[in-house]
Amino acid sequence: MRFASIALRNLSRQKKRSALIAGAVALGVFIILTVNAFTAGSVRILKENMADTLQGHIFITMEHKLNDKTVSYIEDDSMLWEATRAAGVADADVGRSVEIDMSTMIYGGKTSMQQIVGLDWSAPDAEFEPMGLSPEEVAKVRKVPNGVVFNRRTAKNLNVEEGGVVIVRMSTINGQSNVGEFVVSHITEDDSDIMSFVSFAHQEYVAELLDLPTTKTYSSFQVRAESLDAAPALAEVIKATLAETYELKPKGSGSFDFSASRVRKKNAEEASWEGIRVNVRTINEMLAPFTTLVDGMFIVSLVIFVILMVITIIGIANTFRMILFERIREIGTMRALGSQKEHVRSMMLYEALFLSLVGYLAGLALSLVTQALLTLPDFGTTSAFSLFTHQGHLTFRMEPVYLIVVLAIVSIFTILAALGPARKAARLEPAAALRTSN
Amino acid sequence: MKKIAMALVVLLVLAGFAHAQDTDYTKVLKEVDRLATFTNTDFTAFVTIVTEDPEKEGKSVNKAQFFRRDKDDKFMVLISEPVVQKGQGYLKVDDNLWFYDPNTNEFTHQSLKENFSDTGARNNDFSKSTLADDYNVTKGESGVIAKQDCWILTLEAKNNTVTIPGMKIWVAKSGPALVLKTEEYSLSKRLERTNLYGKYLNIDGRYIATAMRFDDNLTAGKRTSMTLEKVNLGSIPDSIFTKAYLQKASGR
Repeated sequence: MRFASIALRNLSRQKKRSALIAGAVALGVFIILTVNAFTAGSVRILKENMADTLQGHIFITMEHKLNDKTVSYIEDDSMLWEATRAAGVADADVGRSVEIDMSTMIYGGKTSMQQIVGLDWSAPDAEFEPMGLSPEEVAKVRKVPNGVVFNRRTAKNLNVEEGGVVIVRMSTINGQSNVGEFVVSHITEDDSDIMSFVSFAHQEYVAELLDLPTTKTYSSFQVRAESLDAAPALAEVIKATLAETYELKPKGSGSFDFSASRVRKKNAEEASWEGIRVNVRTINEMLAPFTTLVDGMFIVSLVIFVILMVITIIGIANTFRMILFERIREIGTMRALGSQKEHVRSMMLYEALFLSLVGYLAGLALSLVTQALLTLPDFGTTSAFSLFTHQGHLTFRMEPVYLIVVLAIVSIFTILAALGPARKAARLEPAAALRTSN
Repeated sequence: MKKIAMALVVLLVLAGFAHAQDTDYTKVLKEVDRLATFTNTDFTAFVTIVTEDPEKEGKSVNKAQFFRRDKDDKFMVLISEPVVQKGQGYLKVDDNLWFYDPNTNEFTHQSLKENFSDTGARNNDFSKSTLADDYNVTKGESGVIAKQDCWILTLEAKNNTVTIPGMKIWVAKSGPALVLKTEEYSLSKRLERTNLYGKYLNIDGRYIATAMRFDDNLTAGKRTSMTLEKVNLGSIPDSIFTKAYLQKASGR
């Protein structure tokens, strides 16, 4: 501990130099912590917002093999109800919807690709609050059996107003071509790009367009977990119960990867099952392509961090060589007075460690202040970023494990930079060191 | 007695005629397929597709070379224009249709009912005719189109796996049973696309349409014209219907 306090005193003797090194470390730490907190926060809030919009954290679909073709619909949902109840999910936390995954909406020569989600509009008004719909607006939608709800961006793209009749071109569950007509019953205030690909209509009409076998048939079963973090574990419990009755679709089968090898594997999988199989996916799995894009940002910041650390380490190594040269007589004196080699080495390594700690804490503090400032602007709930914001504000999320990992990296790099000069200092012969003139 | 006998004869003749008419319409459909299928030979042509889309300014032109082998139900299309799409292609083998992009050197799975590139033509416009396999004739009548006498056949898909649920086709009465016009209907019986076949080329007793127009009935003003040139029935090497050929031909 004596040498630790000597190390601290040595650092304070050269305040400018110490501040420069700590500052370089702080810059790297600031960048990596801020970007990571932003990406982690954005991804989390995106998942929460999508879970609210899609009204669930877990989505269950059923595939039927008919004449070598796979058709997706749910008709007999008794086992699904049994599985969710056995997992402790209340009936009120379960929803059902009918969806057209890909359709083309046409109005006045303009087109827009849309996913159309058919909802049960007879549900209580409160269930539509996450969509930003007031009870009066819900009542308006209920009145029109072939009504559709667009976001503002979609309506702008199609140049359509409320009351307009849009044509939809889509495929049935069997892949047949079908055409329908929707009346625009409400246009929401949301102006985001992301939600401009999703529209909401009546379950019954969507089921009719999809040519589902009966009116009691639907596309998917949604389960709301207690939280986003609880969803994966709950999904596993539900899967375990369903696996007793049905074949489960292998994980990752819903991938967006349509490369040759993936489709070959998919074709082999498709050929190998018969009857009915169930697909259980969490919101995390469904949003994997989006989170992959966001993860790309983190990788870029990681690369910048590594580059900065390498530059910093070179600077630290050179600085400690200078320190060694400056203190050669001091070290000689210490050794002559009885300090051992490991004491000299430890003293220099302590200096490096304290520099990295100070730099880390400064970077962390700067990152926290920046995050607090960046949460202040209100981007509104109708902007393109709205899905990545919480009520219009950016969110940041610092993960404790990540903080520890960055601290460990910074400390190790800094100590490694000082290790060479520290060993050299430890090997100095006292007499030779004392004879040296500065 | 005489009157009863006469009535019976007339009834029998009418019944026979009606029976003959039903059989004839199905035969007409089979003949349409037969004339458009090159079972014993391969088929190559250069195709030009011109699309007019109200959402885009001006006309867009796509040019491609296409290869077809009906006996194996294979085709390959290699795009040469526009420049940004040069080297892209489609390959159909068995039930799989692949789209190749030389920029990424990747093959992606496509559906036959999807549009070919950004045009109003569909991928299955390049494959062989299978009307008799896929459809029942629910109604047949006589009509006239472009001053030509024709049969107007109303078709209904035999099962719900056929992409286009309903069609109406105009087939020439005199001469070979060539399709002059088709209308495609959705499951909700809405007219989706009208196709006109202006010119045919006779090659060894088989016919290929060399001038076609596809009108999108749901999007006003959207139409696609397709013309075929340099049609050839020469044998095509097996290697053409492979992914490796598509990659090589794209310049990769």
